[in-house]
Order: sequence, then structure tokens, then C-alpha cells
Amino acid sequence: MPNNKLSGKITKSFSQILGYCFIIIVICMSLYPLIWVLMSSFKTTYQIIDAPLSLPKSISLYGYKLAFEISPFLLFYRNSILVTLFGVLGNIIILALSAYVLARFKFRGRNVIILILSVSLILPATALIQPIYMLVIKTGLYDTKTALCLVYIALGLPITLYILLGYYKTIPKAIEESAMLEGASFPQIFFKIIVPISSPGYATAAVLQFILCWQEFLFAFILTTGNRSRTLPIALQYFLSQFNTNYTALFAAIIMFVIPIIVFFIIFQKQIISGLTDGSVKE
Amino acid sequence: MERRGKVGVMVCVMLLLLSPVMVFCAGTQEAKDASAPVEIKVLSPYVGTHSAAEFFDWALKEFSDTHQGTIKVNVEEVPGEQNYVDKIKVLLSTDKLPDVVFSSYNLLDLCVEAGKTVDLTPYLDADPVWNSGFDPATLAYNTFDNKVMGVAYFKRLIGYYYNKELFQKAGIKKPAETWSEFFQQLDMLKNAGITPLSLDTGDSGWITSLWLSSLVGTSGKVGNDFMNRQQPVNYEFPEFIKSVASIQKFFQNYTTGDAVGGKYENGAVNFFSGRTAIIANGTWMVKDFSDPNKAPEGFADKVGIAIYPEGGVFMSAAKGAFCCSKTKSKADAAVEFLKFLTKPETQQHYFELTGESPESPKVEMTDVIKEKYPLVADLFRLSKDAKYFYQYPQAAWYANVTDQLSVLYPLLANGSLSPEDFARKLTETAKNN
Amino acid sequence: MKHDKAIIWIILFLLPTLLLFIAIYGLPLLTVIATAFTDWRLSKPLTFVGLDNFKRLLFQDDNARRAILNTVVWVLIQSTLHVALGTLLAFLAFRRKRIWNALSISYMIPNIISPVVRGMIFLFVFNPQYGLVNSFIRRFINPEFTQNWFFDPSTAFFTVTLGWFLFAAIVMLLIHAQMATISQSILESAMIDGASDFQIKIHIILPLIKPMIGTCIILSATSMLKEFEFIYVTTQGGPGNVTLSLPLYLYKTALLENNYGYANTIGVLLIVFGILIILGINRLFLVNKDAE
Repeated sequence: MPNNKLSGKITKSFSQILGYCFIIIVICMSLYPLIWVLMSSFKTTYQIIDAPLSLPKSISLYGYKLAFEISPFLLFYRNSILVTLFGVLGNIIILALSAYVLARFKFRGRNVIILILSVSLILPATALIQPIYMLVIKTGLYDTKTALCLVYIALGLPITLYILLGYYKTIPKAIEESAMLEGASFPQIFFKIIVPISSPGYATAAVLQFILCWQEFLFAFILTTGNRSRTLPIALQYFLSQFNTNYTALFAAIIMFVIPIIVFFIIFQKQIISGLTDGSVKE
Repeated sequence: MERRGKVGVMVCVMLLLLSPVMVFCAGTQEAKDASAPVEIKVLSPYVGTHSAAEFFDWALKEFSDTHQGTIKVNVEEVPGEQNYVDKIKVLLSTDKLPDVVFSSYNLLDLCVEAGKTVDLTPYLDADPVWNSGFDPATLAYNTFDNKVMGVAYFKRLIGYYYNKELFQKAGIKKPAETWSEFFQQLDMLKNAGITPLSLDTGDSGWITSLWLSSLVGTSGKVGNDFMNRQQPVNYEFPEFIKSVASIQKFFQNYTTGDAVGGKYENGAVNFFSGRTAIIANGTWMVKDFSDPNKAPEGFADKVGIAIYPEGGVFMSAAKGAFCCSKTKSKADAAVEFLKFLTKPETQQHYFELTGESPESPKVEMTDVIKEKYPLVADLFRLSKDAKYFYQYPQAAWYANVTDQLSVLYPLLANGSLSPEDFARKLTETAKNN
Repeated sequence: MKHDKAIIWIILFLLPTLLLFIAIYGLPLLTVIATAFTDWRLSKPLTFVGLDNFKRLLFQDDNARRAILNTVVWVLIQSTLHVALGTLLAFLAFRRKRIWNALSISYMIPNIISPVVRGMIFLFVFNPQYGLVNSFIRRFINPEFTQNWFFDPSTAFFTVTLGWFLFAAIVMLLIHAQMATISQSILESAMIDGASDFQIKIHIILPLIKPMIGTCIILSATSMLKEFEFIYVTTQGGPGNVTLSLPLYLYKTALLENNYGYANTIGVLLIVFGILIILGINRLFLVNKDAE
């Protein structure tokens, strides 16, 4: 018996160590691209291509300066922030509402509605370009951030839907039932009880929607004409040219592009975790 | 309580959906004024790191200064050549083309076919000074159905560059005059421990395709006619297949390990770093040799320029800018802009800024240019003796065929595709159009 | 809840989403389905051709055949191995706060970097001459190693697959979030009963997160029906058509050949494919079942 316990312990520690190693490998593999882009943003284009693994000779901010000179970087940054902010808020709000009724109420046609909404998960972007372009022009929203917000809310529809559907289903029905017994109305139950305990689900969906809005290029490009509504992904294109790609400025721009998302994610991570540990509220 | 709740929800949702509109709503309609300047819309790919960006900024400013109050040019910046094509196609399919478009990748052909371009012939007839500034070949190239639809302000003059130091090391005295001599030089370089050629396959294999075009274009009348034809469909003829076989040899024996899969910049950096001795590219590259961000110091002194064996050189008339205005007043204003861009004085300025060869025979090789771009001056001189002139695929072939090059070159290079099959696949792809 | 009162709320809550869906996706969906039966090229008028496009797509087009095969394989890999990877990582980091923080933040980074930029970075990493991978192999294993990962037909598919297969942060995030909703008391009583960590994970947690695994499978599988940017930036579908995916083929058909009719036929195929996946996974994993 003692032998079994000991070998059991050894295999347990062994698998633990294996697990740790695996995680460390994953972390290194994920951080490497970012670190490489950062290092490269301090090198000249020639150095980047000629010796990509070499360390930069000095921390030169030339690329960062250039990014602002070559493209309307600051303006596009501001636009990205605005479009993403409202794109995320709008998306979470309307789907918080819809996913709730779809998750909770078994009415006729519910599954059909979910299936139809899921089609947005698969429809190729090339099919969407022309009709949306015409729609945006006809409603007078061409070249506005509003148009982008609305399109992004729609683009993120399926993923947020699935996440919130999954999350709402983990809320025990007992909570709503007891509230109903106490005479609470539908909106009261939803806004005062469901919403607060669903914040981790909202936060998770928000993170993914943030990434979508921040990175989206195709519609930002097609639905805008001047610079007043254009977003960051378009700025990155300014550094790419068949014979003149400036990798220094491009990588500097990428670093500046990626930092907000990382920050947003770190903040929301805390929100998700704290919301979840409060999950005991459910009991 | 319930009703208030319901209304509350509705109002909240509406407010949130509309708040972006309220906050960022576009300005009110501007009052229409009879004496207001005519506004034309121009889509420009010349932004960011594009080599013509500086020129275009200058041109816009000049034009706006000299046309204050009469014509206002609204520019939409479209970075990225492929993005430009995509956007124009969307505008074409929704009938919202701008007033001035710059052709690339057969955009002019597409818009002409769709019937959206403005015929420039009447304007040319009415302005003999403007008309005479052009090389008739350029106008002919931009003519469809006897109507001149586009006007260009540059030509593409392309030879190849070589590293004089490395040539010396391998014992090569001067650029090859025949293809067999060229192959000999490749062997000489290899024997001296130097990788001869920079090649690429990404982005339609620009560098590689220049060699392919030269091999075909100098192989005789049939080949030359082919390389001057627009949107050919059949690639399966002996001269082409033989040239593809040579390209296969280039890939397998005479180039770097990252040529297959590499993009233009990989080939360029191999040349700048002295790893390879030869690279084919146009005159716009000359500026890079002295750019400290792109090439090592002192590199510009090592570079020589040549035309292709058998006296071949790319002298492509270009498909130029064209007009898609819907009203006469806008068309007139757009043509004014086109006139400005294409007149010899502007072309002179373009030449001085970028080293790209001008379209008009009236533009001269001034001493300024000779000093700034001695290689360009050399190429001009050499091409006077050239025997064969031809085009490059991106200007002449179907878009899906040039795209196929990127995926077929790697197969050709590692031997899994024969030259005959290479030509056959190109033909099949062309037929899909 | 009283059904009549509830119905008003249901409609109200659903309205914004449905309206937006119809506005943005309604017309495109109809257009795709309708024009799949036509010959519609950019600069020429539309003509009806019935099932010709479908016949060509399914029986006569070599490139399409390869694209379909590739896409099916990628859907399978992504729905199984990729989801397993994310789930495994979520399990390993569960309830280990510091590890989770480090892991989640760093693992998200490749997903934050857009596919285009990721493609560029991968090209550098796998460059046969001076890329990280080959430099490493040359130093430690074989000094003559010059494998061209992306452009040798024998390794191209594998290398391209790595571009999305390795980065399962979203799956990990969703599974972890779901795991954290499991009430403490269940886990604690199981531990008191003497169940080992491993047994808890397999017998208690796993069944509870099964619907979310199903959701992740749906999201991962359908993402393969849209994936083309990474391939476009790296191999462009080559060498030949070895790494051609159906969405990439659609993109090329529409934007290079201006053949919108045929492109939409491919679109219809993708939609049918996607619906089958969603229905299938729903059934297998009971994604729409209510919680107990």
C-alpha cells in the first residue's frame, strides 16, 4: 500500500511538472512574436530583413516617429477608440437582451431564430460588401463612425450570442423563480438580478468584441472615404507598398496598435475573475 | 411600474443606438452656391510609403494653388495597390466611381468595358498643345474602340542591376549580350562563391517575372508579339515553354534559399547585402541604393545597370489616369486635373523626384537628373540601342493569371511541375475569365 | 411566468438584434443564394444559368475539389485538437490564479495580433535562410537544414495549419469562464468525499462544461469556413493549390476573376456546410439544452 501511494505521488508530481513545462512553453511561444516585433521596431528595414534575429543596435524611436508622419496615425487612433467603444457597448447591450430571452424562454420558433442568427457566423465577407455599402449610402451614413459601429455590432452578433447563451444557461432558474414569487416584474428581474450576476459573461464577450472592432479592416476601408472616420488597421496599410514596405514604421505601429487591447484585457480579466468568485451570490 | 419599465427599456436601447449618431453626426448640408468651385473626387494610391507620394502631394498643392476658387480636388487616400483595386471594383459595382481614377491591374479595361469612362478624344482634339505633348504610342495604348480613354504621365523603363564589385570578383567584364553568355556569367559567379540572382515568388513573383518576360520577349517575333499583347489566353507555345525551363534552372541552381516564397523585399535585401549579384527591377529602385534605411552605406557606388541579353528592355507605355465623371462640369474639371498631371513640365518634375521615366518625348534628360540618377541616365542611353521592347505581366496579363504565378513558381522550382504543365495551367486559368 | 406578458418582453428584447440582423445580413443572404444560380461578372449583365455553377464547383473544378478537401480537414482538426488544446490549458490553470493571469494574458496576444500581421511574423520565423526555426535546427540538430516550410508541397499544409491551430486562447478563455461558474460547494463536497483533483476534473467539471465545449467547437469549426487572410499573406493557397481553402478560393474568384456568380455558389456551399456543422454539434453536445 505505501508503495502505491508513493508511486502515486510521484506520478502526480511528474504530471504536475509536465503541466508546468507545457504552460511555460505556451507562454514563451505566445510572447515571442510580440517581443520580436518590439525589437524589430528599433531596427531599420534593411536590418530587419537581413538579420531578423539580431538584437537592435540601439533603442531608436525613429520608427515610432515615422509612423505618425507617414500616416494619419493619431486621428485614426482616436477614431478606433470611439468606434470600438460604441461597437462593444452596442453589441453587448442588444445581445444581453436577446440572448436572455432566447436562453430562457421556450417559445415556438426559438431554435429556428437561433439557427438563422447563426448564419451570420458563416456568411463570407465578400457577400456582404456590396449590399452593406449600398445600405450605408442610402441611409446617408457613408463615411461616418456610426455606420462602422452598426456594422461591427452586427459582425460580432453571432459570437456574443453564443457566449451569452452559454453563460445565461448556467444561472439556476431558482433565482428567477424565487424573485417571481416575491412579485418582481420582468424588467426588475432582468435588470436588478440577472444583469449584475452576468457581468463575467458580458466581460468575456466584450473582450472578443473589442478585438473584432479594433482589428477590422475591410468595412472600415470600404465604408469610409476621407480620414475622419478611418480606423487604425487602415493606418497600417500606409506602410505597405510593393517596393517600399517600411517594416520599421509598420512594427512600431503594430506595437502601438496592440497595447490598448492588452491593457483592456488585463482590466477585464480582473472583472471576469472577481465577478466569478462572487458567483456564490447565486446560491 | 411595468409600463414604465417597458418604456424605460425601449428608450435606453434607442438612446444607445442613436447616441453615436447624435454625437458624431455629419455636418448639415452645405448651401449650394452657383459660384462655388467645382468639386472633383480623386482616389489616390500615392500615399504612405509609395514612391510617388511626395510627387502627388506636390501636384495636388500646385494644382489647388493655381485653381483657387474654380476647382476643388477632394482626395480619398487609398493605401495599398490591391486595396485600391478592390475599392474601385466596389465603387464600380455600385455605380459610384470617382471623377479621377489611376489605372493599375487592368482597372482601365474594366471600367471601359462597363461603359463608365469618359471619352477624352474630344478634349484632346480641342487642345492641340496638350495632345502634342504625348507619345502617340501612349495614347494608342490607352485607346479603346478609337476612343482615347486614359492618359499617362510615365513609362516604365526596366533593365537589371548588377553588383560591379562582385562581377569583378567573378571575372565578368560587362553585362551579357546573349543569353548563352548570360548563363555562362551565372556559372562564373557561382564558381566564385557568389549567388548570382535575386528572385522571388510572392506577390506574383515580380522579379522572377521580369526575367520570364525578357526571355520570352527577346526570343523572336512570336515571343515579342506575345509579350506586347493584352490579356493573352494561350501560353502553350515553344518559346514560352523554353523560357519557363530557363526560369526553372534559375530557381534550382542560381538563386538563394529564400527565393521560393520570398517577396520582393527579400530579393532586394539579398542584393543590397551583397549576397546576390543581379536583380531585375525598374528605375524607381535607384533611390534605394543611397537610402540608409534600405541599403548599407556606400552601396550606390557598387551598382551598375544593364539591358537584357539580345538587347531587350521593358519600355511599357502605361495605362494612365482616367475619368469617370457623370456630369459635364465635373468631367471638364477632371480633365483640367489630368492635363496638369500629364503636361511635360509636370512629367519633368516627376522624373526629377522619383527617377521614373517620363512618358512624353518632350521631357529631356537634364543635367540635374544625370547627376542625381546616373544609373537612369545609363539605362536611357543603353535602351537607345535596344532591339526588343516588351511589357511585364502585371500590366498586360489577366489578374488571376499573374496571381497564379505566386503558387506555380514554387512547384516549378522544386521540380514537381514541368514547364509544359506550367504553361498549361496558365492557359487554363486565363480561360476562366 | 405568464406567457402573454412574457411575449411582449420577448419581442421587445429580441427586436434590436433581429432588426439589425435583417438590415445587415438579410439582403446579402438572399443575394448570395439567388446569384449562385447565375453567371454574374462585374462589368457584364446577369444571366441565369441554373445549376451550372454547382456542377462546375462540385465535379469539374480541380482547385475547388482541393479547397473543399483542405477546408474539411481544417474543420476537423480545429473542432477536435484545437478545442482540446484550449480545454487542456484551461484545466491546467484552473484555480491557480497567478498561472492563469500569466497564461491568459500572454496566450491572448497571438489572437490579438491580426491574421495578416501574424502571417508576416510567421514568414519571418519560418524563412528557410535565416528564420528562427531553421536557425535553431541548424545549430542543434543538422547544420545543413534548409527546409522551406511554407513553400515545399510536403510541409506547406502543416505550416499553414500551425498559424491558427496553435493559438487556442479564445477557447481557453471561454472554457475557463464556464468552469468558474461551477458552484464551489459541489467541488468542495467532492473533495471532502476524497475524490482526487483529476477525478473531479473528469467526472464533475467536464460534464458541466459540455455545452460550452460544444459552443467552442462550433465557433472553431465555423472560423475555418471564413479563414483566408493568414493563408493569403503567407502562401496564397500554394504551392499549386496545396493550401487553398474554400474561403480563399471564394475571395480569389470574386476579386481576381470578377466572377461574382460562381463566388456566391461557393458561398452557398459554405453556408450549407456551416449549418450542418451547427446542427450536428448542437445535437451532439446539447448546446441548446437548459441547465439543470
